[in-house]
Amino acid sequence: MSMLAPEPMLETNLFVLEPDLEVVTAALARMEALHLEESVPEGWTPSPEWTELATRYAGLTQRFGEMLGSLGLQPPSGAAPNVELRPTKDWRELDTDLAALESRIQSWQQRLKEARQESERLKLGESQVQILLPMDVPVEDLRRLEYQTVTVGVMPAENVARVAEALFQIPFILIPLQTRKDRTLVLAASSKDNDAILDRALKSAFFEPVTLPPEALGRPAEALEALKRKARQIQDELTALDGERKKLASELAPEVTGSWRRASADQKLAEAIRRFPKHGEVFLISGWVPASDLERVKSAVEKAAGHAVSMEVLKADPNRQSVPSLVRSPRWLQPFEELVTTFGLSSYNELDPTLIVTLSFLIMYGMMFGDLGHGLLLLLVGLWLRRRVAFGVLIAAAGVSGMLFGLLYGAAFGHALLHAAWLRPLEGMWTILLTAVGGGVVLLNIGFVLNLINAWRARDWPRLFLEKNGLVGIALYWTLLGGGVGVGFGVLPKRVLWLIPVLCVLLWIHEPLASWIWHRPSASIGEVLVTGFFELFETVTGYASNSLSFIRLGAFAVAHEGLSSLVVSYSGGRWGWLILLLGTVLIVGFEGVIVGIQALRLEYYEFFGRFFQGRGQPFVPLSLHTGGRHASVGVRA
Amino acid sequence: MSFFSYAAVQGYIRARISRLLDRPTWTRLVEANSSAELARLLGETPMALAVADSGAVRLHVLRGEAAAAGQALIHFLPRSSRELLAWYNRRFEIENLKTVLRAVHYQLERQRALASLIPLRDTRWRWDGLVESGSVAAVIDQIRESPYAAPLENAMERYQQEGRLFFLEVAVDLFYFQRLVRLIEAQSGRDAADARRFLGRWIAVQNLLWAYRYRIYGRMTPEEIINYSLHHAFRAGLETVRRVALGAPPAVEAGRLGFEVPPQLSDLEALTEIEVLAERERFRSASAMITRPLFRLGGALAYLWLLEGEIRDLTVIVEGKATGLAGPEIARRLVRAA
Repeated sequence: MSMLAPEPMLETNLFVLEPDLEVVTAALARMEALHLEESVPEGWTPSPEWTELATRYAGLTQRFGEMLGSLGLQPPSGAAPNVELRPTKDWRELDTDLAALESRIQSWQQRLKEARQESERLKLGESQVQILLPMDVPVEDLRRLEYQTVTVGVMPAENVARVAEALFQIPFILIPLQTRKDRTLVLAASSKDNDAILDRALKSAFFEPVTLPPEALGRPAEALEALKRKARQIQDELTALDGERKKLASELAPEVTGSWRRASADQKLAEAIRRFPKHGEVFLISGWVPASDLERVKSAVEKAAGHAVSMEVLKADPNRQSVPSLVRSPRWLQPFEELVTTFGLSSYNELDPTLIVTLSFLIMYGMMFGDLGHGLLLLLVGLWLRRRVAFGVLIAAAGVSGMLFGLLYGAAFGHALLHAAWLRPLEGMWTILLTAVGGGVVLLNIGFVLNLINAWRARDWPRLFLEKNGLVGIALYWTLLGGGVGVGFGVLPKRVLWLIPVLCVLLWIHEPLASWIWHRPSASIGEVLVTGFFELFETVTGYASNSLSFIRLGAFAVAHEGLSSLVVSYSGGRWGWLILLLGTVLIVGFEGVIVGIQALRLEYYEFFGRFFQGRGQPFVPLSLHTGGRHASVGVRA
Repeated sequence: MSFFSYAAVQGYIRARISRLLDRPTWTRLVEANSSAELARLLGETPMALAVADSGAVRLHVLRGEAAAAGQALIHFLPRSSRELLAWYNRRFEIENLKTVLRAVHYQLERQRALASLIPLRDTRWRWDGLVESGSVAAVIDQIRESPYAAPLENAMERYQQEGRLFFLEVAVDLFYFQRLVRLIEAQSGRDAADARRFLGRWIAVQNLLWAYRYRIYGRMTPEEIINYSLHHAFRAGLETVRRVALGAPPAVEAGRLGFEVPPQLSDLEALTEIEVLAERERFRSASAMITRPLFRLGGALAYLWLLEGEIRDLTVIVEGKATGLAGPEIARRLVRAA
């Protein structure tokens, strides 16, 4: 069952004495088996000194992180450092280390900062002087304008026209120079006696002025050359500083990385502890532990504390509590988990559909993309991608499925090279279309059954019995589908059709009925009947459209064969190989993606709609990992 | 297909309209002897969810319900008008964002800040995380993926220079309303007429009020008033704002929008009068629309306005009771009194 259902969880409350708090929390974090829950019983309060510590460590982590960044190093990801973590003490040592490291790179950092600022200033200066090129007057004369105010700066692009309107009372010049990322560099000018108005108008349009660099002297062309000369010098300086950076990085990397990891781990502990409520000398650590990990957690906690720790364990009540979901799929199924998690995560009460979705997705994909050769290419692409992207294995598996269906269709690279073990889609069009719809009906019914199981697990009786995917809904679906066909072919008596209005009425009034039988809260009767009517309409049309939606599996199989034969038919002659190559690339690349989207659409809309809500809260354990999925402390607000 | 969509809208509104309070209930609420009695009476109405165990009336809970109603209607609407209503409904999110910015700027206590937020069911952010961000820059950093980040960043330098939230708030308001205007103008047919009649009118009044508030309360110069107002705002666009900025009396500009404001009122009194008249007009047009078949965008907007009218009137009653105003005095200030 564990392959199909989230791991059973236990609500766990640990009562930890203050002296044991750090070591116990660190042990729990290293185990990654506790999803923290904020729970503050009356009379218990979080301890403010831990909030101060968390802030202190956040600052330290940030400063070490900035140091890593400035040295061109990446913050490492992975497990916590293998040293004893004592957040109440570690910060002193880290503070000293930080000061020592900062003093070693301070001079280089300062020079780098100045050179970058200088470079930026010169670039801006160049773009300003560029616009003055048509004017044949010395730049310094513009700074000494007696009757004019000239300013250059950047502002949001959409505000340029607004400023022009705002200056309606005065004569002005406003020239947009260049726009980048929705910000426009503008030159604005007015007479000296109107400079206050110009200034207010620009400021209120979020204008940020930039000033002409002092070295811009002489006529604009000369000033520009001077600025460029200076910019080249600065660029040389920056190159030299980069060489210094590499040297410093190789010398200091172990120290800075180690300190960052330690500060980051201490920060995670302090962040977690600051939320633990305290009463006297006792802290309460509340959270969810997978049932299979409970004994391991207990012994690790007691080992860390050096004595027994008081622990309260309660069974999860998913109808009352928000219980996190932890689905542990077997290793071979893990690459396919994203098919489900892209839509949502199973909630604690829900079955995890990864296995069924994987199988059905691959069958649907293969059916639409059946060709031994194209499937083989997809398999090779998938194998090449599998270490680079998460969905590489999925692509490879889809390729294998395409190959198997290629054998059934007797197709390889669009040629009917093989004996078709089943049929050729273009020849057996009706068979394949009907098979597709039949497959859809089977999948929808698996969805119905899964919904019944989910409803049973959640003890949600209205959903189990009365709703559109419950027993009444299933009966209506089969009466419409089986009854219609059966009566049409004379296999079933016409009176079977009387069931349809009866089931429709039950579905229409399911909400007041549920309210009456199980005393569930319900909106006013008028509101329920009106919305119920529209829902019924949608449900009945949905049954038909959901089933017929699967016809696309057959249609795409036919289209795939048609498109492939078209490419083959044009592949004769001198350039035939090129047409074959481009056509195959188009089919494998373009059609391969479209078929994948169609299969996903059928899974998400038609199949999941029957039983899966995917509103699960992920199990995020308290962890000291950095990077990847363990980065979060896992404290739910 | 829009017929079916609006059929669902009609069904939803007709089903929910019975939850609006009727006239006798309003009378009872207005005449309640105390805040405690008001809470007790409210507890017997569909607004009971706004009454806390302590007896306090939590108006922001009702605003959350109004946001949820807007969200529900968005799902029913045809594609053409869905985007417009979805953007219109974002005003609640923006209100919360402003509350967060205020909380961070003034370093309000976490619980107090969280309690002032509108409880939104469909929300993309962890509001408590935003409240705890520590600085305005950190809030903007956390909402980097949202459309509000760019306008806020544009105003950030001015905020940092002068330490006033006004610049951030005005930037986000302008961004919101400019997009709303564009979406209204993109509507066609009967929906376009409804969007202009309801939302266009509302935007015009808001723009006029902003311009006067900048002039009267903020004592701003014409160029600032123009830059902080909308230039396209239907019947109160750039020309109106210019006239306001240059000193046009409120009664004259209100008259151009069809509001009769006595010319002898002071600027401050006139502004209050325009606000009340505009609210009453909103309520009247929504009430008139809701009695007709609702196979159009106007039906959804009218229902949402009636909900907001209720919250507005209830706010007046709660504040009136808290300050000891007499029943008739409170009734005079309600939108439904007209």
